[in-house]
Amino acid sequence: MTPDAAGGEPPAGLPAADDAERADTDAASWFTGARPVPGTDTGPPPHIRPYLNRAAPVVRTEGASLPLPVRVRNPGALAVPRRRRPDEPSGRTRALPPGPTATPRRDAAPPEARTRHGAGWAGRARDGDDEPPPDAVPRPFVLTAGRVATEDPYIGMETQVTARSGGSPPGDLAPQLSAIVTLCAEPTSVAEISARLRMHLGVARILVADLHAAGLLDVPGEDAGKATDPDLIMRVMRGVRDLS
Amino acid sequence: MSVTSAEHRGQGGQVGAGGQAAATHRVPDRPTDRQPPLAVKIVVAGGFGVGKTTAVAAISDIPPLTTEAQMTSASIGVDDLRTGSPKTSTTVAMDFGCVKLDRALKLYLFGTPGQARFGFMWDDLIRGAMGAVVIVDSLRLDDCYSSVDYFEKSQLPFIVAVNTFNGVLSHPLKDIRWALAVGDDVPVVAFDARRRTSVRDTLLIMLDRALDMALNPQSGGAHAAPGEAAGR
Repeated sequence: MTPDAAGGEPPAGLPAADDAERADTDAASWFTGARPVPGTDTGPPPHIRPYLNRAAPVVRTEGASLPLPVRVRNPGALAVPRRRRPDEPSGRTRALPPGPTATPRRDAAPPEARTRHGAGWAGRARDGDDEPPPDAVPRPFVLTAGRVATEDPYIGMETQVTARSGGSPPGDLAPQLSAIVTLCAEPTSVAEISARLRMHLGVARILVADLHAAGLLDVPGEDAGKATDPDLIMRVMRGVRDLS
Repeated sequence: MSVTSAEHRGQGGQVGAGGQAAATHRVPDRPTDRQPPLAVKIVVAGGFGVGKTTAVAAISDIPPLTTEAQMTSASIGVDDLRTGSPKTSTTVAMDFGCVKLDRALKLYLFGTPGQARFGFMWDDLIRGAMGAVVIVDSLRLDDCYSSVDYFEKSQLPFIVAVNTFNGVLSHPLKDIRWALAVGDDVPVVAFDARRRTSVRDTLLIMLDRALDMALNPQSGGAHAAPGEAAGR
């Protein structure tokens, strides 16, 4: 059992990893919330009392140091409204529509508007501006010469990238590109490239695609592993189950 | 591994001649080659401050890293009242971690940006993911509603995981399930984001749901999870 990050033994109510059979039973009941957790403070904390149905008494069992979780008899007493399902007939839906547009509540600018005015510059811009505003900073995609789409295999944030030459970049490579090749001596994800080299994710993705096109980086193909493949899911389950 | 310059140029020529072939199929006459590890991704979603990064940190081999993505406010339709212009840029940050499951398999856990309104960029985040865990703070249930909306519409297997504090649930899971209005086939479980074993068990429940959906694509799962218990 890994020690608690805060120090000390884990709370008694949680299943012990070294007793698999008991852990299954404990985990199941713990997950349903039906099992009281001994050793913690008694009574509901003051800040949740407004959420309690006043008609419901606190139930205590003999010998337990903690009352059972208070049963809220009328679920409507929860102070939050029930989530409205998108398919329920009503005036307003909470669902986010598909695609890269904002929810209906907001005034979403049409996609063309993004490129019409000062698309390469961050900072204040007004309609009709062709010049970058004085406080502007070049947006990251300007560094990539405006490329936003590639014909390469899909490069996701978790995609493993490996340097072809074992991590030694050619001498005439730009510093950012050289740093990527060096980092990818060991297989590295695009997100890690972005985080460790402090570049935006979109920029990292495009530079990886460029380096792949130039033959300096390897990127796995689309058939590398489908997340809906039952065998892969079971393989991941086995690996996660064995974590201690 | 070392590559002679001639070989390197040859590889470059091959790629330039219009092949994904050189990258997607390892060239057999490079004996020092080995396949990179396979990467799978699970999304950890939920409102601000519910414990996404805590959960990722609990299970990750390395301390969580942060990747940033640039978004223009015009593309997300947010009016920036300070500048009076809808065209300012903003950066969203995602914390992520990695667990090496075996020599050839890595599991990445990506936390969604804290602000719920950046839901549109989640299409990219969930693409190719094995599933999602929506973390819920039972004292701020409605913070997670937009996440639940989103995943319900997507085809991604997901579960709801209620973060407990000091092991105490403030509401029975049954009532939380009612408030979330999720189908009976969506597992709703309680867990502790600080504890590695608890996060592990939560991931196992999500993976079980993913397996269920993968084996039964038509019905979206062979059976409803009984009440709020784990499927087994």
